[in-house]
Amino acid sequence: MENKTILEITKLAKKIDANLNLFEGYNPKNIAGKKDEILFWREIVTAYGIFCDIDRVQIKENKNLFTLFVKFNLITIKEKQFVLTFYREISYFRSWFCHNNNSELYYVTRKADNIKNILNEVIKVEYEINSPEEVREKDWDKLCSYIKMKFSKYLGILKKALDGWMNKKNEGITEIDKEWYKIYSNALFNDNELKQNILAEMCKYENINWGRKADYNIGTGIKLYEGTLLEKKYSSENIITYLENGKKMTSYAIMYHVLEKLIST
Amino acid sequence: MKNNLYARMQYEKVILLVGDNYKCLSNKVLNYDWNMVATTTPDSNFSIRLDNDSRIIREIESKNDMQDNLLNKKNLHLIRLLGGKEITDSLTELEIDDISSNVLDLLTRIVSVIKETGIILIENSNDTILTSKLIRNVFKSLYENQSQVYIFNYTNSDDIYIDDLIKKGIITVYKESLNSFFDEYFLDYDEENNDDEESDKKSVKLYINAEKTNQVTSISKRELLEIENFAILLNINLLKTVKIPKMFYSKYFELFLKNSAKEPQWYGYEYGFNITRSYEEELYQKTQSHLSNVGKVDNKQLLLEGQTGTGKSIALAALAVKIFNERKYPVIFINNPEINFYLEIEYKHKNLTKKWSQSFNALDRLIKSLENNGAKAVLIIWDTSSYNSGAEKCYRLYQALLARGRKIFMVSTSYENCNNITNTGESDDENNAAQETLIEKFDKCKAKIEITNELIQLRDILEQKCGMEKNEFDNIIKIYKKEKKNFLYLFYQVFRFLRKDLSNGVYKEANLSLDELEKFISTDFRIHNESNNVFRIAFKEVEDKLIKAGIINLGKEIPSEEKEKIRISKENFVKCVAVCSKFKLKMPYDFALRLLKVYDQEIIKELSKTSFFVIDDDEYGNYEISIRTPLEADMFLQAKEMSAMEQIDCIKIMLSEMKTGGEYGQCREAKLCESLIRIIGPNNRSNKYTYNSGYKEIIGQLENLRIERNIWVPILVSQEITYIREVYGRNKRTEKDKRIEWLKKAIEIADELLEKIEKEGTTIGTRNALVVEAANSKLLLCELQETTDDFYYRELKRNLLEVIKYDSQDFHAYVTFLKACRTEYANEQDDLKKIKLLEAMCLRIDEILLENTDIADSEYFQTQVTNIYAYLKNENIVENYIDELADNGSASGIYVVARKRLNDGKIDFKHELKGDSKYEICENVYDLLTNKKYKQVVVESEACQYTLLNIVWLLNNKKPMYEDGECWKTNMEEEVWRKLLNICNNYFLHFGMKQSNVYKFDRNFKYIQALCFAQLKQYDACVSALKEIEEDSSMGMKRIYVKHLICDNGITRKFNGKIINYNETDRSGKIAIEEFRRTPLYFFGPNLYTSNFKKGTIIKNLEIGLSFISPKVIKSERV
Repeated sequence: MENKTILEITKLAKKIDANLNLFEGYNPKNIAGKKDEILFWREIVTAYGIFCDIDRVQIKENKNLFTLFVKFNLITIKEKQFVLTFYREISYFRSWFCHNNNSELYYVTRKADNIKNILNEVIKVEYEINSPEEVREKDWDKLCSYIKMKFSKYLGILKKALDGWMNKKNEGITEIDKEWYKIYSNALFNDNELKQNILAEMCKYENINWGRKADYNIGTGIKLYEGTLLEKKYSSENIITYLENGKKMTSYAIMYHVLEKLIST
Repeated sequence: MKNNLYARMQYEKVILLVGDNYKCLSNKVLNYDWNMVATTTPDSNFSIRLDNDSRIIREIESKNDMQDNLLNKKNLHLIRLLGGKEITDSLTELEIDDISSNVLDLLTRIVSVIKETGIILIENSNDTILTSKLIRNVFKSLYENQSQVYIFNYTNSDDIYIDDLIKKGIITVYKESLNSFFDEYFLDYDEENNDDEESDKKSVKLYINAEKTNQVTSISKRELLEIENFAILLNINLLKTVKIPKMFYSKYFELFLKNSAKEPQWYGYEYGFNITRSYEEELYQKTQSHLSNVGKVDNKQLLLEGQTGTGKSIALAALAVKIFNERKYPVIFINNPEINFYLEIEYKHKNLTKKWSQSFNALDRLIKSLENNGAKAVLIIWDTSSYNSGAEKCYRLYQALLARGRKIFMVSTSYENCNNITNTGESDDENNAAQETLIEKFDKCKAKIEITNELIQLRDILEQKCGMEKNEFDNIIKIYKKEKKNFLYLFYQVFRFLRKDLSNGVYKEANLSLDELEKFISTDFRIHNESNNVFRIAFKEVEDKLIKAGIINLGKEIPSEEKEKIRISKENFVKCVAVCSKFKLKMPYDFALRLLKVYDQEIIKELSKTSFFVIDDDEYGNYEISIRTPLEADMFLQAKEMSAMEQIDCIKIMLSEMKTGGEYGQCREAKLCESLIRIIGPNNRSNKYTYNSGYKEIIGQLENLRIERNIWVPILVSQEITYIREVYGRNKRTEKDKRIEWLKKAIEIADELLEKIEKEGTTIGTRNALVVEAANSKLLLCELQETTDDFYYRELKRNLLEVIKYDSQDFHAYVTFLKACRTEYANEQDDLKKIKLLEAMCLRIDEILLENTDIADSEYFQTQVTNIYAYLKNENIVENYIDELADNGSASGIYVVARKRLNDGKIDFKHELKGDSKYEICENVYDLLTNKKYKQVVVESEACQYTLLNIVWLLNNKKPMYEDGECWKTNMEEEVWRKLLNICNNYFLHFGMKQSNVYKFDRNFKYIQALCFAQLKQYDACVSALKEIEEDSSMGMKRIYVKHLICDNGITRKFNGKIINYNETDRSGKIAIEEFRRTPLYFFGPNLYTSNFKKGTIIKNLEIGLSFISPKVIKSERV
């Protein structure tokens, strides 16, 4: 979806700051030749991947990129709200599709209500649609267009904000950068999955260095490394220190160097 | 604390000590990869619970059963501390006392094994034997504050014994049980996250003849268990398992560069980290061509020869991967140059105990299994290049596997022969002859040092895979070009780049350019050669790691005296490791720590992270440390400007710090010292001119070891004798009396040691070496004293023949023997005695020519033969003595005349008899040997009988007894066969089968006797005669070829047979031949040209051939 725009945004972000890693490793689901329901779910999963896997810092985290944009008047609150709502809608659909949806459960019913509202608002038919199961074949197209339109608008807001940031940078205003490091480092710090992957990779390397099987007791290795990180009082501050150096790196590389340094010294 | 224990378990040997309470231990605990388990329970169920797919359990009940591989995880030693006994009420006090002392003995041994490194985990129980008092007694000898013993489930209070050890920092106790420790720290990762299928856990997958089909073959992991310590069967998982994220490429590339010297880094080939050297294509082509020739006679093995630093190890692994990926031939990679594939013979009280090499049998079984899975050939690659006669080991292994009928091809490595060294002295010739004879047995490929496009490849890897900027590479090349010969320069710069980029990140060092980095590194390493800052880089790293491990704290609080001591220990440590590594020898980790004078578990972990050192484990599971490559070690020694004398000083330090390791039989430290002394010693033509100024010092130190420390390690004493002989005995500038005095001393030491060996036992190889060394000294003494005492020579020669009896491949024994014969002959004045000596010499020559082609083919041997045969020419007077000698009961005169006539007529038992004149000479000799006048003495002469046998054969068959190839046809009348049988029968009547199958003539006569029986249709007698030949698999291990086919008038005799059984997998079976009555004969399916192997099938027109072990049924052509 919108691969060209995403590429432009990525380049722009890198111009602003070497460590403004947006859409890093973006790998959208293949939608060539896909239509209707299949297309819809593929788009949902792709968008979800952006917000939750690639860039939790954009909107998922409490303090996120869009709150930063609002704070520095790069976008309006309404625009930020739009992105947040879009993210939530994506999450509802993804969650509905991927989970069991026992209607006895509180959050499941809330999620179902939200989905129901979206479906009825977008499809607009004479009867009430209760769940995606009731969407007619011909109506999926409307839902796909809805997602595409919102995705495009979200990218537009993001681009507008980044343009504004660039302008401020050109004017010599750097407060926003500092604030960004805080947000970014927090997001990286909270990204447990990324951390676990890196620690596992470190264990694997150590195993190979000692001629052991690559996967030997990785779980315990991670646990011990986490113990060391706790001892060394690992926090988002470590990441900020690293980011301030300004070296061009991916999120993975930044986290790897921070963790490796703490563990090996 | 437990984190620390867990971490230690990753790097140290771990032993479990448990009593009856083993029943409470979870499977997770019991299935852990223990290095050893010791227990007081006699319960046999314990070993059943310990058994799993990744190890074999070996029960040990007494300290004498403790083997070299005591800590081998794959061959887990379960030490039954009670010696298999059970504590019951009926035991007397004395019996209990005996048991307790056995427990103490065994535990003391265990403690000695882990004294320098290793930990023991104990699950506490109220054991009546394993009391806290006993625990204190045993463990108090461990170093304080090293926490090597951990007791779990420990709830006692006020136990003075344990408390004492806790205070000393020897024991750590935990209240919780081992189960909970394991639950907490050993997560079931494999079970939860391992998505391998069940079958993948139990087998490995590889390709056999799958070039077109891609079909995968599975081999059970159980079959690989016994070879895992020394070899690896290449398989799909091995090459594909490790997935490397892009950002880790440079980190793994560095690991690849560093660890490839230690063992193949298989992931690297998948990711293209290997730089292909120019000679690799030739290596590959030759290997391919030889693989397609497997099964053909004389398919020579391939030897990759080259200097150190030519990338042989990486090239071999690359070859392995390439052949594997072609999916046709399975590949076995042997990475351990020291592995013993040979029969080990223990010598004690004049008795021999044979121990088969488990490794050889395991390898043989695996190859057989691969063949059964359809492999047309198996490629074995053995990275052997070391100074320890690697080529010879490979030759023996290759021959031994061929002898077992395995379809293999073998590639190995060796250091280049140094041909440019001045060659002087006789002992040099002998060594060279042995080496050159051996090298001729190989096809060769030369690993060249010249760099062609390797730099371009390196740049591609660095730039494309490791993200290096172009200018950075240019910068490295710029530095490299300053010292172009020294490619390590380039290498370490690469290391720095790879390290800098990854581990230092934004920190200070990373911002320094390479030039600045050099300045940054401190200069206190006492390396005087300014240009050689490679080692400063390396040593800065080593020192940083040692400081980090808390070993060297150069802070202010240490008094300067102490600092100096630390500096010296550190220097000694690195220098000694460097001297060993220069000769590709690895230092046992415990030994290295002793030199460093510190014991700390952190060192091993930290040193392993440096680019300079590598730590790996030997086949017994013990850690060893070395500098990455011999080239780097040598460059370090040069950079430190260490003279030969200083290197000798290192060896002296090692000798003084050496432990004999008698505790558990490996003698690793003594073996290392012996190897070093031998390599630099007077018999090594490459090194003797470098190190000879320090030989006297070595002799002094070895003497000191014997006299001051009463250490009589046979291999070291043997070296001492060699050194004394070569340094003092052969030194013509020393007064004769002094030389004699020294030689007498050497002989005295040898005799004393041989006497000790009689009682204490040793391997036959060591004993043989010692006998030969002693004989050489004695011989030199004889020369100097011009001795003519025949008793003395007789004893000397008897000793040497005994050596040859035990090891028919011992070239030095033959050489010394021939030299002894010649010396005695030269010193002898009495003509009659001279003739007898000549007969004895010629007999040995015949013996060697018959059986030991390796030695017979050597130039040295042939020169000796020419010299000895030249004596015949001078013996014109012999004919006058024939009768006199015969009257005295000696056939020497007759033999010498016969031999002279044969030699004059250029008649060789190995060649066809062509031409009338040769025929006439043979007849003439035949007449002489069968002359009634001499009948009695000729019958009693081994030499005459052997000559007679060959003459009768040649006169009647024309073709020689043994030809090239196999399946030979004969053409002799029944009467001749009877004549031959008579000669054989007479031989056994007079000489019998000598003890333990060793004199080769016996086997030869026995075989010909069996053949005569078969020819004369006495088939049962034929089978039993062959049974008497014990297959000498220990040394010769010749392939069991079919020699002669049973023939009538030059045409093979035909038989009919009925199939008894057939094994599809082995493609072999047994067939009943009426003439052989109850003895079913062996056949190989494809040899019979039929597809019907059903039991009871009758097959006609079969032929039978004889080998040294049994008759074999074949069909020479399709009918």
